[in-house]
Formats: sequence, structure tokens, C-alpha cells
Amino acid sequence: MCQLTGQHAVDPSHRYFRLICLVHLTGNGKNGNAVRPEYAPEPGVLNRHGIIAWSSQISDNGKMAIVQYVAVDRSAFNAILADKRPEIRVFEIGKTPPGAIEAALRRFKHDFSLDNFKVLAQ
Amino acid sequence: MKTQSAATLVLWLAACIPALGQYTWDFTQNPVAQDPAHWTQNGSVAFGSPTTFSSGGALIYNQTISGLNSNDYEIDATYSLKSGGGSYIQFVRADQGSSVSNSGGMTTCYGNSVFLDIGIAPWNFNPSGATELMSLFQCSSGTMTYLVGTLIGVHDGMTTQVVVWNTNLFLFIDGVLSLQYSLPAGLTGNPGIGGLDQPSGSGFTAIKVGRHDTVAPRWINPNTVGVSALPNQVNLQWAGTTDDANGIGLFTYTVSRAMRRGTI
Repeated sequence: MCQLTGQHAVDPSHRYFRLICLVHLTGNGKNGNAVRPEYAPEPGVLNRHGIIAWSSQISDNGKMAIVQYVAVDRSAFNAILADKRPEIRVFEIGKTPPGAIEAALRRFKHDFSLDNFKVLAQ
Repeated sequence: MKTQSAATLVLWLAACIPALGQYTWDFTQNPVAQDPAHWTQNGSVAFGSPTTFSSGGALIYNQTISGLNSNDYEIDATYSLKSGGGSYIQFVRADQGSSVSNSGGMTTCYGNSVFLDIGIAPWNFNPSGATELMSLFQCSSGTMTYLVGTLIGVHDGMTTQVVVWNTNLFLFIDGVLSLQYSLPAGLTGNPGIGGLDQPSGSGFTAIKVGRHDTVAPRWINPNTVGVSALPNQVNLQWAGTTDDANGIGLFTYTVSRAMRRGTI
């Protein structure tokens, strides 16, 4: 056995399981019913057993959102991965090349870039 | 920018955060006070040490911020978190009518802004350390859009530093980058603080507002760059540098490959 030295912690923008998705928006924006992406936990219900962080960018037409979801346990994504509606796009980080994700999503947000879409998760 | 050709690596320095230089704030206040010359008060505010937003309200900075673009700035806040419950809000790109309230248990926003909301659950809160929800909302004439949600660590006495420039928003908690977001284009306005349902003894204790620092830190000395390149691994080292004399401080070094950030 040997000891590794000089190891850095994983960048918090790369930790855990991550999906990048194109989903619909839900909510009317009034009376606590904020407009938010589908599958985004409502305020107050994030916990370590489900989605622990998410971030969204609204599409050019204002009707959908590009969302990055982060979970410690991949099973937190079961509902998203099972969504087969044709307009929904789901990419798993680490399985789809970044260039392919950007190319697919720039059809919906012209300046979309993964470089500007980091989600830090502790 | 410094290019290390042998390993096709590019190094550059990114601005800025914890203080080393002689950065001058536009406005500092400790404790946060009733001050119409600097704050537009919306809703209810209980001034003191700390200043508490228990019934919903906001203080929006009402002076023009110095620097190249008055819509680019930094706002730092210090929190008193003695017990559970409450929303602690920092506004950016806010108009002077921005605020929040609790309407029948539902959060309602007013005006136009983007705001960070650190929500402290009313149960099991430990002032020495707790995991809570931080959210980012956009308020457009009272319509709220929920943009970001993430769990963060909080504690009594913590500080936040929100830096906004162009469409970039960075949030540091106790000097550690905790949120990076690309804002919708075209938003303008000032920073502010606010909240609702904050318990007695909790709130904001100090605020700083200042220009966005646009002067890059000093370059690293290229003679100090050392490279060890192996087929599947590259190690780099270099002597540290400092910010310019009027800068707010050095935040990070960024290493990139093939001119694409974040790929190493």
C-alpha cells in the first residue's frame, strides 16, 4: 500500500451524478407558485436523498428551460430518465460528449454553453 | 495570458475575491441603519444590530455605484443567524420598488430584480452549522421565476459576497465560491438586502457595496512555471501572484487545455 499525496478534492462543479435536460416550465409565477422547470424540487423540499442542486436557463422562446440536475444517488433521476415525451431532451454528463450536448441545446437557446452552466454542489 | 507550448496548456488568472489590496468600497454600514440617503426602504424593516426583516421588506441601495458600469458591482453581507426560520435575501439588478412579502404563507415579490434567497428551515437549526436551501429567483413585475436551487452550509456570523458583472453572478460564502450563474441579458439595477419571517435576533449585521473590480491581477512570472508532462497526466506549478494595489484580491488560477475552459 502506498499513500497518495497532493490529491485535490473533486471540483464541486463535477461532483455526483448530473443530467442536462430540456424540459417544460410549470407554475404561474404568482402566490408562491413560481415559474420553474419540471422536476425541479419546490422550494423547501431539497434534501440529500433526492436532487441536491439544480440550475436552469430559460429557452429563447421562454417556454422551456435547460436544466442541470445534480444528485448523490442516480436513482433520484428515475422519473426524468423515464420521461419519453418527444420534446424532452435528457443528456447524462459523462455519457454524451459536451459538444453534442451544446449542439443539441443551441437549437433552443442560441448562446447556450456548458462553460457558462456550472452547478456547484457540496 | 501565458501559454505553455510543450503541453499545449494555457494559464490565465481570473479576478478576484478575498482582500489583499486597497480596494475602496462605495458604501459600508455596520450596523445596517435607517439611511434614506443610501437605502430605499420597501416594506417593513426593524433596524438594529442585527437589522431584521420579519414581516417582509427590502432595502435597495439608491446611489449610483462607481466604476465602468454602475450595474456591475459587489455586495457583501454579514449574517446573524441565531435561530431557525426566515428568508435572507440579497437583491441584484433591482429597481427601487423591489421587495418581498409573505402573503398567506406564500412568498410574493414586487418590482423587477434577481434575488438570492437563503431559506432557513424553522426546525433543527444549529447556529454553529446547518445545511439549508439557497434559491435564485427572478422577479418581473411580481411574477417569480425559480432559476436555481442548491443546498449550502450556513452558520451564525457567515459572510456572503455577491459579484455581478455583465451576465455573470458569482456568490461566495465565507470566501468559497458557492454559486455561479449566467443571468438573463439586459437586466439593470442596484443591489439590496431583504427578507421575511426572520426571527428576533437574526438578520443582517453589516453591508458593503462597491464597484466591480475590472483590473486583472498581476501576471504570474513565466520563469516560475514548471511542467511535468506524462502521456496521461500533466503537473504544473508556478509561483503565486497578487492583485494590483487597488484590487479587491485574487480569487483563483484557472488552467485550461486547447483553449477551452473547464476541460481539465
